[in-house]
Amino acid sequence: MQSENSPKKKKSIRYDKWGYLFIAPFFIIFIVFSLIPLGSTVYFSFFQYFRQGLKIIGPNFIGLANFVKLFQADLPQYLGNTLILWIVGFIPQIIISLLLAAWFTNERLHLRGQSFFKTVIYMPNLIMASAFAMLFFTLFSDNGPVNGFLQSAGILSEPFSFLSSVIGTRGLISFMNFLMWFGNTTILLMAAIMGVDPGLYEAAEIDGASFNQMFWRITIPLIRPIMAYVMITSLIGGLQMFDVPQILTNGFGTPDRTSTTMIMYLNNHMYSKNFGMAGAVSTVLFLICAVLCFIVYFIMTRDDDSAKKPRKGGAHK
Amino acid sequence: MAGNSRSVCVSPFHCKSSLGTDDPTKVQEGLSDWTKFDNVAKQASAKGYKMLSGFDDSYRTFSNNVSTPWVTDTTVNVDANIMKWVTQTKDYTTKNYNDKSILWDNKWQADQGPSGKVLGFFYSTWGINFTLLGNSLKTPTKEGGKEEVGNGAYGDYAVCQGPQGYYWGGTWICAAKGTDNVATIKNVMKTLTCDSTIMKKITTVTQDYTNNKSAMEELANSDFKSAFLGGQNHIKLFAAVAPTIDMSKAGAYDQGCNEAFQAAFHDYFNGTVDLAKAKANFEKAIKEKYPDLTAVKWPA
Repeated sequence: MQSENSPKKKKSIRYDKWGYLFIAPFFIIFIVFSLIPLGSTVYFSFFQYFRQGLKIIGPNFIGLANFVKLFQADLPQYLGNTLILWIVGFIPQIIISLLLAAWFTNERLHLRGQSFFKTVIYMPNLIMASAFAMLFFTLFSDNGPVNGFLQSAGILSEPFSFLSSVIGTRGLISFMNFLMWFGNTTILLMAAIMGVDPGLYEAAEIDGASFNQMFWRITIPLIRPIMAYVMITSLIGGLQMFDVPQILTNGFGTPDRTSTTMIMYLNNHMYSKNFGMAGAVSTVLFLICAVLCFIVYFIMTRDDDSAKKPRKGGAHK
Repeated sequence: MAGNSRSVCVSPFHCKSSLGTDDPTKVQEGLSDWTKFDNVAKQASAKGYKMLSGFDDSYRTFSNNVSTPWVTDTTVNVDANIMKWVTQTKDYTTKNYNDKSILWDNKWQADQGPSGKVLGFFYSTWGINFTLLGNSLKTPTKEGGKEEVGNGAYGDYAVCQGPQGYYWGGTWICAAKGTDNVATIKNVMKTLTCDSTIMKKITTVTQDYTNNKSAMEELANSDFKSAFLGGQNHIKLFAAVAPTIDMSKAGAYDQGCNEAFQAAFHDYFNGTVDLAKAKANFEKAIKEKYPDLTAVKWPA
C-alpha cells in the first residue's frame, strides 16, 4: 500500500526521442549538403578566389570589393531581365490557370474528359527543361519548321530570326516557362477551390449572385493562401531561372545579353571557377529573393479590410 | 605533362565544283588572296550562291595570322588582322554573301549538304572525314545511305589552299605528370606519331592527315586518290602547306578570347548592336572569363 509521504512514481513512457530520431536524417543531410555550402558561399563572397589556368589565385580577403564590382557590372540589367522573363511568363500562367481551375470545378459546366485534360496540361512539367529548350531551339531556328510553315503559308517571305531578336528570344523563354508550369498551377488552384465550403455558394445563389460575383467575392478571397503559395514559389523559381535561357541562347543571352538571367551571369563566372564573384551574385540573389518573398507574403495575407466594413442595408449594431 | 601531336590540322578551303571549273589549281588562282576572294564572292552572289556559310567560317584564317599573341601580361591585344575579319564579315553579311549561320548550328550543317547554296567552307583536315563527308550525303549512313558518288554532294567537293594558311585544332596525346606507366606511354606515343607504316595506314583509311613527314610525303607523291574529293590527292596539297603554318602566337588565353570575340560580334553582324557596343561587350565577357585580365587594347 502506498504511504502518504512517498512521491507517486509514475512510469511515463516518453516517445519524444523517437520523433527526434526520425527527423534527424533530414536535418543531418540538410546541414551537410545545404547549410554548410550556403555558409561557405557567403563566406567566400568576401574573398578573391579564382583559377587562372591551372593556378589557383586566393583566397584573399577583399571585403566588399566583389559586391562593388557586381553593381558596376550590369547586375541591375540582369536582374531586370530575370524579372521581365518571369513576369511575362507568370501573368498568362496565373490567368489561364485560374480560368481552367474555375471551369474544371464548376458543377454547372460539368466538363467531360477532365482526367484527360488534366493529364495533358501537366505533361510539359515532366519534360526536362533543357530538352524542352533544345526542342524549341530547333523548332524556331532559321531553317526550322516554324519558319518553314510561316513561309509556305505566305505570312513571311524571309525566315524571321527568332533567336536574334529581343522580343523573339524573351517571348520564347516566357512561353516555355508558361507551358511547363501552368498545369501544375491549375491542379493546385483546383484543389484550393474544391476546399471552399459549397454551402457558401448555395447561400450566394439563393441571394441571387451571378457566377462572376461568386468567383470574385467568394472563391478568390478564400483561396488567397494558396495563391500566396503559388506566387511565392513561382517568384523563387523565376528568380533562379537558368536552364531554359541557357540552352536556348547557348549561354550567351543573345541578343546583346538581353536574356541573361542572374544565374546565367553566375555561371559565366564558373568559367574561371571564380568563387568570390559567384558567391557575391548568390548572396545578392538570396537577399533580393528574401525581400520580395516577404513583400508578396504580407500583401497576400493581410487582413481583409472589407470584412470590417459595416454591411450595407444590414442590421446595425 | 608532356604532349605530342598525332595529327596536324592544316586547313584549306573546301569548295563545291560549281565555280565553273573542276581543277583545284585553277580554283586556287581565283582565291589566292583576299581581294580575289572577295571578287569571287561577288561573282558567286550574282549567280545565286553564297561564298561562306556563316560569320565564323573565315575567323581562324585571320586569327592564326596575327602579329602578336592574344594576351601580354594582363592586357588583351586585339590584333588588326582580327578587325579585318570583323570588317569582311560585316561587309559579306550586308551584301548577303553569307548565310548568317553560326559554326556547328543546324543551318551550317545543312549548308554542306546537297541542297546548300554555299560555295565553300574553311575546314581542317579532320573536317573532311569527320564532318563534311557526313553532312554532304543526301541519305545519311544511319538511314542506310552509302558513302559513294551519287548520294548527295559526295564527290562534288575539292580542296584548294585558299587565301591564307591556318590551323584548327590537332589531336594531342598527353601523359599525366607522375604516372607509373612511363614505358607504355612512351611506346604508345612513339607508335602513334613516329611509326610511318601505321601513320600511312591511318591516312589511307580515314583520309586524316597525320603527323609523320615521311609517310605523308610518300602518300603525296603517290597516286593516292580521295573518292570523296572527286579523285583529288589532298595529301599532296596538305604536305605543301603544312610547313607554312605559324603557331608562334598561340597562348593560354586563346580559347576564351576566340569564343568571346566571335560571340560578341555576332550581335554586330546581325545589326543588333553597333561596333562600339560590340567592343564593350567583348571587354565585359573577357574580364568575366579571365578575372586576372585588366585591360583590352584595340588597334587604331
